[in-house]
Amino acid sequence: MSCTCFIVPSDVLERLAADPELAADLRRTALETATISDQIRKVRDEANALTGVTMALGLAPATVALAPVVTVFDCKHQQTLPGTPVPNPGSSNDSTAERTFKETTAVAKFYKDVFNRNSIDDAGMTMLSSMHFGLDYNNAMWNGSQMIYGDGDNKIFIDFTKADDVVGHELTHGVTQHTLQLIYSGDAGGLNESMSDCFGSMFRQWRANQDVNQADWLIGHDIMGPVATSKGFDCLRDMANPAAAHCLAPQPTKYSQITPGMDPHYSSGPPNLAFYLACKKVGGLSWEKVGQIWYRVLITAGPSPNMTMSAFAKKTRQLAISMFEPEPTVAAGVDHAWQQVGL
Amino acid sequence: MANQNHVRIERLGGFAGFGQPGSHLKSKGEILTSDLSDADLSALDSLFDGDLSKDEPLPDSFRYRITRKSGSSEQTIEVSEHNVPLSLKNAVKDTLE
Repeated sequence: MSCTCFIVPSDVLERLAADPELAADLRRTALETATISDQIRKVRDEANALTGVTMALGLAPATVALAPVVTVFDCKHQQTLPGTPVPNPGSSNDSTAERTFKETTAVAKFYKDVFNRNSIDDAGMTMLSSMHFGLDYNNAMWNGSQMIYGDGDNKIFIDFTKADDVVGHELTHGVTQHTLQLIYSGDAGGLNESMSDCFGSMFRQWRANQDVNQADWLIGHDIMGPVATSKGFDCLRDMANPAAAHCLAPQPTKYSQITPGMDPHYSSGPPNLAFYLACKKVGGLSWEKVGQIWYRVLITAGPSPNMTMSAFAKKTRQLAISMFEPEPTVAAGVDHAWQQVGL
Repeated sequence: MANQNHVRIERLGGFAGFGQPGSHLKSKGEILTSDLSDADLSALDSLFDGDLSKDEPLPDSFRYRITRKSGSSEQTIEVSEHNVPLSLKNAVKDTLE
């Protein structure tokens, strides 16, 4: 049996391991995979549970490092995680490894400098990334404990590490896991995705030192492959105009368009647009005022796995008033933005 | 065991939002159950027979909509990427429409 690397349910693997009709090597591999998969699941579940318990008790996790260690692993086009460690990734001959290291390090600096956050968990957690995941893999993701990047098929998409907003997006899923702990469905799922787009876009703007008028507000612009660009697509999503025809995956612009069961990448349209509109109304640098309000909701609301978009909007309105009391235009801008999307 | 039939697979979601309403990104494929290994066929049966209530998606991971015909009826399930056998995952092709 080749290394199939996916996490099949334990009961399936255990059944295969005990199936007398299967060859001995198949049964042995199934048993080994069951054991490893079970341990991975336990680690993930325990990590999530520990995060929840410490937050519920108001305990801050012990700081493991003053700044996070950034590590990069090479999956070598397989789907085994984390893959082989890349020594000295910052000076690697593999441009993807070097880029993954530098972009991840930059995201850590962004969170530290702008939000005074020490890594994903605010306690110096190691930032682990696996690159070259799968073959022609058109995706990047956060699996609960690390980032994963595919190389793209070089037709629709190119290497997913080439977009700084993508790296910022994935790492922010980790930050959300360690703060609001939003689930990945319903309103909370759309908010979860929107947090990643908002902070991913802010990271992109911060790196380029762009104000809200200079920013392109596009998600995934730098990973468009030749087939996508030849057809006139220049991004996955456009926070300034979620329904635009130039997006590969256009989104709704009003909360009233969201229905149960929608994919979070679709339902994140209205909160994405609200963030953009608030930033434009307030002006300046997105991360200095509106970004600070959004971040404050993340770190002060406590675990809120089922938070609604309405509840999130309400908290940003309250914080806009309390955080920027001498500047009522900030609260007015935030209020106006949410009203425009129907919240 | 599953019948010797076609299994239709559609890949959904991911960072790019495959298959969502209005999306130009699609990822679909088909595979014959006769082309699956015994292990993958067993895994497929278990997915259709199992309890998927705890099948929670991870951020930006794919979901797979799998449809198989059993006799005269058609069954469809949606499962997270980490629960899908590699042979089924490899059966889809990403396209731009």
